[in-house]
Amino acid sequence: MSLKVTDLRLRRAHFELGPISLELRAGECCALIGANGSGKSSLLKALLGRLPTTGGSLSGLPRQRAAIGLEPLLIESWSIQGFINWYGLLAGNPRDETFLSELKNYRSMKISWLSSGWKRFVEASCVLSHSFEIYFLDEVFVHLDPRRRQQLEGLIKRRLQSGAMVILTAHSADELEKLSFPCRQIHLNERAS
Amino acid sequence: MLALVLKDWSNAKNSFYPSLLLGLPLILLLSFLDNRTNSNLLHQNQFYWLIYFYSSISVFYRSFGFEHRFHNFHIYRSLDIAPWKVFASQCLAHFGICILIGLAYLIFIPIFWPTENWPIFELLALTAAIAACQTPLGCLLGLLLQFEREFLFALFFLPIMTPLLLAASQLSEDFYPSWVYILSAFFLAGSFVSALVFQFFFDELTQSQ
Repeated sequence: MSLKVTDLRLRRAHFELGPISLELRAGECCALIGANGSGKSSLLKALLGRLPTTGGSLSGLPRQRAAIGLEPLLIESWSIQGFINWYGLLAGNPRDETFLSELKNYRSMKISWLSSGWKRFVEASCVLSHSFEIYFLDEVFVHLDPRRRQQLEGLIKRRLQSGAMVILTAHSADELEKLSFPCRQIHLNERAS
Repeated sequence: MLALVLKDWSNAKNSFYPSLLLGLPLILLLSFLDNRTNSNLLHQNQFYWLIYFYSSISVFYRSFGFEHRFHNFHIYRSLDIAPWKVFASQCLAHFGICILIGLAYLIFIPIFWPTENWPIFELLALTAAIAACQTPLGCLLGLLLQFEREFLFALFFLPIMTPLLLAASQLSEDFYPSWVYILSAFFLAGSFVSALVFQFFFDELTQSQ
């Protein structure tokens, strides 16, 4: 299993991106790094096959994929447990409860009561608790305190160890400096290779 | 699909009570304004349908207000959930809520306009038919709220629903085949066009940011 991107280009209203090339194998992580508006999310969408590209090729995109967007996917009126159950139904595959151990004391809490960091953590834990071949995690560490960030890194690491691919986005390399797993970096303001 | 319906039902359900409460003062107001001496069944039915459509605007507006294109639609697409499933789920959830709204008003309205000839079962069946006709277009207009937050929902909803309003008030008085044809045509054309346009805007939404 390997995702191969060769000289991918895409055009948006206010910028052109590419050519981008990367190859990602099972168990590998790659981070797209760029400033606001540099095209990180657009590139993720193109990789997901949801944005037309103007050149290059993309092959080996796994069928089982999950994504976390810039804003958390949460239904404010539900409890955390309600959301976990619902996502399980949406994802259509069983979840690994050990990924949700940090949430065990909070499961009855309403999502509307949570801070933005907690919402992000709940969604990410929930998505990672389901097995997919590739995870697209858009600015997943934003709003997280150091402790939650460390816990989330642990969850991502476990998925990498089990053979999943992960593509992250971040604003700067500093944000990814102390990651607990190896992660290749691609800077979008420079030509990627 | 079940997950989609559950989420959409939850959003639509959260819109139920505010929509119901929105119509109740209108029932009260119209019952005061109504000239009892000239009151007839057609008159009462027209009030019922007016309040029903007025509340339906609120159901769709509030329900789609809970959606957020960056939250939900983006994730659906990453999980390869087809836009038509999202459309079907939205229609199903809103159809159910629109029937509940109609049922609630059918309980309240005879209290304010008591009559022996209130055709409760016919009105209920007609409410289900009208709900089926209005939900596809209501869902499409609701999706457009995700495109443009300043989108004036009511400005589009009521004029588009005018044939339904006329058909409903006429059919609740008597059985006119021509209005049944109009209703059927509205349902078929409305569903087809809404399904196509919904998918187009859904894809546009999930691509844009």
